[in-house]
Amino acid sequence: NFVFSQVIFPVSRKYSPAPSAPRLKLVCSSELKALFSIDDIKLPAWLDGMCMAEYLPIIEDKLKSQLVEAGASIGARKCFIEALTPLFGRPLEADSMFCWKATFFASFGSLRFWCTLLYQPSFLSNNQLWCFKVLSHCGPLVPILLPDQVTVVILQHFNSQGTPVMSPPLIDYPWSPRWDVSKMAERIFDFLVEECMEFKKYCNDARVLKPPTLQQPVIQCQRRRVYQIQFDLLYLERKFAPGNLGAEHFPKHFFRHGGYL
Amino acid sequence: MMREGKEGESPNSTTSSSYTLQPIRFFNEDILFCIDVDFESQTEMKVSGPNGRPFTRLESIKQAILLFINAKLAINPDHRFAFACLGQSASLHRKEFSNKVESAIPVLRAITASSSSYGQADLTQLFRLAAHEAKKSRGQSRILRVILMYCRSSVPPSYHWSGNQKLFTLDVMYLHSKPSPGNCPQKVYDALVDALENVSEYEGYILESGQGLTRLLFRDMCLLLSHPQQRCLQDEIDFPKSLARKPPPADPTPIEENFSTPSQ
Repeated sequence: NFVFSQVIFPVSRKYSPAPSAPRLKLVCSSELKALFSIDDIKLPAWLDGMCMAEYLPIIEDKLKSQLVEAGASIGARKCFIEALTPLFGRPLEADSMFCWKATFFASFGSLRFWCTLLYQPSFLSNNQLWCFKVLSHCGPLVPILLPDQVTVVILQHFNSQGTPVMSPPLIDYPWSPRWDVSKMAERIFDFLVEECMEFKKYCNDARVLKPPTLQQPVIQCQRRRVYQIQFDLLYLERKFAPGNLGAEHFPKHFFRHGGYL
Repeated sequence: MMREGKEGESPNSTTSSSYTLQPIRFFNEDILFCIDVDFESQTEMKVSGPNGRPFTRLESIKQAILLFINAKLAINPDHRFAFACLGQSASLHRKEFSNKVESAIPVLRAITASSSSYGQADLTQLFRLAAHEAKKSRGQSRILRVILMYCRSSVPPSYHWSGNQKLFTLDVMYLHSKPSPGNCPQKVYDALVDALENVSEYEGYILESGQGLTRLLFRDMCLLLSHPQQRCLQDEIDFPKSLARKPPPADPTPIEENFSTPSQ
């Protein structure tokens, strides 16, 4: 694993008393990219008369603290995943290196569904996103919110013919950065219990566009639920304007499998 | 069926101890579905389609596989899938692994059941194919899993597999008829368990159903979504958990003594 800095010193024709600031760029190995975004690191300003011997230690220190922070984030995500297991069972699959995501399989009455907890670091630039998706052949997909981080809830359902249905993003789950992980897990559990009932009704309203065949028709969602974000603004790294976060705020790849909203 | 994981990590055996997410190197999967196309795969399930005709086992299996693929890709879009059929022996139906649902659909449609019974089911070729593919997968930092969908109630599978080759994980989904004088589903099941134990790299799961209900098949397919590197023993599977409201905590006031009924 490595990070190196590319330095481009401009060469000009005429002599100037002080050399102009070089262009600097940080590049890291692909494995490190999975840990944090190198583009998010703001390079310190190059002061007049500075030289690389002075500048490099500053960058090194910054990178060290970034790595320490990233390591702590992994630890926090790992704890959270582990706190969900008493309520949701073992995960079907979890990212064991960086804990970006974990998926659980749960049931709600006759509905069975699976939930994926997804962390998308470059989402909404600067903002870190936990997404707890619940996929189901009869149930919802639910993202959750972690402290300091924005989470989006998307419901995905597969009906009895195996056809996927997706809902618009939902963002009104309870959270607080003051809660410890087991309390957060309980709150999410309660939230999912409510959401299961709502989404079941929601799916019953959805209309099938084509007769179900092996061609996987997509079910068009007829209603759009948009929520106010209820955050404790003091604890957010990035403040959101009150109002709705509609689908246009999310990158297209977020709605894979051609989900309609 | 205790088995060491590839990274030297032993599976989490857990009853009351809490789960820990082990920091092991995680590999994406190449999953090879092997579908039994014997005549018995045309046996009807107890659920009918929109035209009133009952689904056959093969149709339900195809639907279950599509559900699995959709779900697995939603969990992680980097898993890939290929297809083989099992008659007397196995043959690849689509050998390139792909993570596109759209490419799986025509492949599945093209799979048809035989109009007569094969006398035997030899898994040797399937295991050879899988071992070969597993080496290629390993070269791409992936692990290979075979999911065998077996439908015969009277024909236990056979195989020849030498030494300690455990290069891929094997899961089995067994759809069968109820036991009767003319069949031997228990013997078949035992043979499948035997194959699984001898061949599977990570903990393999075997699920069976004789009920003919598609929802049970779909539910069992969801259990097979679990990643081989992170599995617990099959007996210790603790999901799906039910998302039911917990009852309110019991009233802490003591029960009054007056309630005890005098014995007659």
